[in-house]
Amino acid sequence: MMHEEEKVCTVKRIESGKTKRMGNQLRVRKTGRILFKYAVYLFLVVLISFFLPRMIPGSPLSAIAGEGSGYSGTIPAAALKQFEEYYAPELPMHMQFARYLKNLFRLDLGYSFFYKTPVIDRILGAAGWTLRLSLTALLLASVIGITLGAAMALSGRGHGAALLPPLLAVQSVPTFLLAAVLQIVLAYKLRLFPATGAVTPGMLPGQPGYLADMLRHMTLPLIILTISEIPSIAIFAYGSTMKIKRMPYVAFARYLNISPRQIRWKFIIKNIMPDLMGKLNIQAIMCIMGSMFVEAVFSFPGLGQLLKNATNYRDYPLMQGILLISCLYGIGINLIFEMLLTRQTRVS
Amino acid sequence: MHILKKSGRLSLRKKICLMILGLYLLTAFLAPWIMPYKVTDFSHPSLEPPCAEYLLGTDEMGHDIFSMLINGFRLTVALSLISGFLSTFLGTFLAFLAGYLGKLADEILTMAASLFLIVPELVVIMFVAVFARPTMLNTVLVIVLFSWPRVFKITRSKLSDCMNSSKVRYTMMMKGNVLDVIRKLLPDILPVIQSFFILQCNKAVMYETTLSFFGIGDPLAKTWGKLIRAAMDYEDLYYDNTFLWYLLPPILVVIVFTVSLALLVTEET
Amino acid sequence: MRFTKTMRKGVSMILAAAMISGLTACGGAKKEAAATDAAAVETTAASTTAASTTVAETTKTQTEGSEKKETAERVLRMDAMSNAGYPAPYLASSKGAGYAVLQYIFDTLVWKDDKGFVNYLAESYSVSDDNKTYTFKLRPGVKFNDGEPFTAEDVKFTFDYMTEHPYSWVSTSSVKEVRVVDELTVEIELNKVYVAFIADVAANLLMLPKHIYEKVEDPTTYTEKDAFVGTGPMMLESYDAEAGVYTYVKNPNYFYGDVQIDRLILSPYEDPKTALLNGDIDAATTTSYKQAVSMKGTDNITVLEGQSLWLCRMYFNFDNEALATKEVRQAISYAINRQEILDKAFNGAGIAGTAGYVHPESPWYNANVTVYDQDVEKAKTLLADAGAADSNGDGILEFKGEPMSYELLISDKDESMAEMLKAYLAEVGIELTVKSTDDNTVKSLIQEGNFTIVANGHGSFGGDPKYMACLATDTSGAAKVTTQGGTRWQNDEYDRIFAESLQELDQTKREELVDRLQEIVADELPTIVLYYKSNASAYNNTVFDGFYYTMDGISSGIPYLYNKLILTTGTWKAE
Repeated sequence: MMHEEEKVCTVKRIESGKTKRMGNQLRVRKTGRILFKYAVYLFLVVLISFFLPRMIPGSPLSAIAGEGSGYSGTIPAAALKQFEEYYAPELPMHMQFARYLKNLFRLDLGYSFFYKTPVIDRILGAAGWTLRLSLTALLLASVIGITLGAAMALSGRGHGAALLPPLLAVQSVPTFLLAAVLQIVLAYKLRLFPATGAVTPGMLPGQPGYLADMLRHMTLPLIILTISEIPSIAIFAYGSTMKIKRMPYVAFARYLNISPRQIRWKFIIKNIMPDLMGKLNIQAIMCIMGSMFVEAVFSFPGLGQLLKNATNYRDYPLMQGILLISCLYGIGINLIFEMLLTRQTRVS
Repeated sequence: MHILKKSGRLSLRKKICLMILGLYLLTAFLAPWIMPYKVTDFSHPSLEPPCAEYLLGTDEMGHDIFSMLINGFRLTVALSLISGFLSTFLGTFLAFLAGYLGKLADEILTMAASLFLIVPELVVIMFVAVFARPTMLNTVLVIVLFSWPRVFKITRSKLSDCMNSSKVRYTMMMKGNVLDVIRKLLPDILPVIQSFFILQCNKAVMYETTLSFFGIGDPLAKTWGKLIRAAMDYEDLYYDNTFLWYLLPPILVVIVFTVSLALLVTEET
Repeated sequence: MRFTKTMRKGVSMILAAAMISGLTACGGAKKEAAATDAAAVETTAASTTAASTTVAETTKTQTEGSEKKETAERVLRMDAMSNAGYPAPYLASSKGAGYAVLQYIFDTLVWKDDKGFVNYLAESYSVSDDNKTYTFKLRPGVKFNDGEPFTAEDVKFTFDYMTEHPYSWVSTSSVKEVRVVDELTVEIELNKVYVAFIADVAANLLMLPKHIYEKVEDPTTYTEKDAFVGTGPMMLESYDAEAGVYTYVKNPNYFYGDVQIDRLILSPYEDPKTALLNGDIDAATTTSYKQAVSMKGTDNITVLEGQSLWLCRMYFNFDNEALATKEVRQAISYAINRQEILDKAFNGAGIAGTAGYVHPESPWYNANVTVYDQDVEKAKTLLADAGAADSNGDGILEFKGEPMSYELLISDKDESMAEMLKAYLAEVGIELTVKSTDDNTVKSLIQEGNFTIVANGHGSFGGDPKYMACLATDTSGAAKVTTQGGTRWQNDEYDRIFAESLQELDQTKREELVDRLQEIVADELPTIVLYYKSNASAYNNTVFDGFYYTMDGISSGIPYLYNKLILTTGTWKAE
């Protein structure tokens, strides 16, 4: 058995010979190129977050810049003053940008109009909840989704494909609608779960029962987020599995009489992983967004709730901060995944 | 249209989807004749349960909910089609442009598209929408401006396969402009564009609904998203059964619409 | 096969790392929440101010909390008006919601209960013969909750500090000088007679600890934990900035009675009625009138109805020539159906607006002012008489060549009202385009005069008709919370009579003056009142009983059950 398996591996190595021959030197160069690419992305994001608010017609920042959009007076004078202190619109544009960069390096994202605290404090305070919720959901959804997708692809005679339409249907439902409906049914009507918040108000971390209370509050948002994440992962896992299933080495393994069980786990499931990694990075970003909408519905004190307050109270510095941080998150996640992928020899 | 032409060979699922979407379009066109009352008419008694006069009851202000729902077909379907069309068009056009110009322009556009694909799109959209003046037009523009990258990326990669084909080379050699290239390549690329058009329509509805839910956009344009928000703001929603005819219908029409669009476009396996 | 293993390890490592970072970020957030544990403040306040609560202190609070639990800790939970920011005078929201969370910690010289004014930090006070100097005798033995005594120095300091750093809720402009007579006596001299001094200033101005704030240069950014030191019945334990949850603990050394609860938790709820019925909170005071009244007859629930201290009105920018014309405003008033707005946009929870500004149920109300019932024909006639005509046939009138098309600014929860106003005015040929934004912004824009037409509501409207200051040019020291900025209505007769009314000590004469003010307002319509809102709250009487609505609202008309004195006079029922 062992012997045969090795043979198959050899077959596969020949297949992926091209990438293997890349060697260390190439790999380093490739890593460098990726890092450079992301450095450019980073710069672009900072550039966008700087210029976008100035370019949008009617934005209070473009009003400050003296472009007189006719929509001025959207922010109160006191707030405008803080705005001006941060952006110094009297300076020439490049100086403003330099100032903006300097502030960013000091993690100074300005002062929130609404909370009257530094923006970065609020974002860091909220990001923990969001990460906790979204990453747990991502983990759960990955396990369930990959298992489901692979099982669908491996089920005999394509019975599994029958599950695709329902998955697609769930996928195309906006997450916040799903959240709203389930909140009404499960929390308000059936009272199975708390309807709002992340903990019972007044509970402090470390207090007895805090963890249980937190988990109780987290359950429903987590279920919803997981449900909304499963379809895309499952569909993708299904696609990858179908692809691998048709690979010559799998056919060869069958020919070598390796047990179907072994083929499944050792040949197929393991080999769809690199493929899935390329999907999970997008999913990690989608998950954060999904989490934000679920949070907004459940008044869960994460980034979504913060974003909701920021939009409700037209807290521009806070909005800008959330935009910047979520973009950085997206870039960071992608960088990590891409680096991981280049470090591995990939099946082409 | 391509998809419609082939409908004879379509699976039952796609036929149903097409029928549903046809119904949506029809409702949108006939909305003025279907709506029993004007959407601006709030002279009815408030919070009536469904009856012959008010099929889905009335809201707090005394609008006929059924009329608002039907009017939503017009607004949301129109918004979906327009944004879907424009963003597909923009993405495709930029893809052609990138292919035609090549080199630096291509690099820059590809880079921009990749960047937009890895940052949370909707946060960017919300950000811009909050800063901009709240009108229907701006909502459409924002959605269009920030949802083309996906179209661009795929179309661009499809294009690079075709770009080297002889007919394109010939056109380029004849100093044909970008429009000539597009004309030559369009047949090859049309199926992809069609799928994207549908997907982008789907997305536009999702985005509009989400923006409305966050209270962004024209306050008086009664889209389905606005209707959902209004229903969720109704304070006794969870105490009487009002949600059955106030909240559920707009949620259902949104979900049926997005699901039909999604199921129409996917490949049979 | 090697690579797949590494790959898997990679995935799990990323996920693990991300989870951990999530958890640590959360820990950071909690640490950041300001906390003033009584003991912690006592030990640190004298020396310096730690940036944030250390972990040790937090644990200490918790162990104390769990010890108390054995003797059944009395925790009262209520709904907060909103996330009103850190509960220190310069940090909290400058609206009623901010004052509501402040008054548990900070005290005033005079306070109010359900019947009216009570001497509070001041044991007694006297007024000089010329009515310009107030002498307050302070209660002896009052201590700030960090142990420092409260003295006349603190009173003088507060007035001086608040003149230097204006505090938007109260204006100290009526005060000429504050003099410390002895440790417990303070004299306040006014610029001129101001009959509403007690109601408007003495009962509103929160006393700051001199020993802390004298070192604070910019109180609007000072969030150290000693920023929350006051003399009130409760002390801040924690404020969760993300969720807007305020947790207070009992001040054992409170000078004005025994606090009946150990802990008070305020947190905002989107649906306070459900929260109350589910037992998540023990009192729901931010319920809408209709919601609260719908709970009448429910077991263990007591429903209270309060005074109406909040009105919604239209503001006009008098820079606009058409809107500055009296007949145009009258026409607008005739075009509007106030009763319908009240019924449909606000569930009928109140009374339709009247023209004279003062609430119809107030003892100061003048019932003989002009009545504007909806009359489209009359509105059209008035507009035509004023010179407005539709010369280009587009359905919109022109006034001196300018189309009568205006931007109506509203807060985003008032979209129904905006839709109705738009429809009413379209009937008479005036076009409105609606712009909606958040309520804070709308209020700021009103104060800056940066609008054309606004429809917005506000409190600070009840009791002494000093609130009519918002229509006067010279407010003579009354707070300007609800005053519109920019070019506004100016009427010499009104200004003169209003100034007179503030100095008139004879009640009947003052009533006559206020009657006259209402007549002028009803005729001139510098503002059009759309409706007066009613209030109702509900609470679970098996947990805590004895809630009441404060006479004319807490401070300047905050119509909720937050009065701190309830915590000493009420009874704890859940044993």
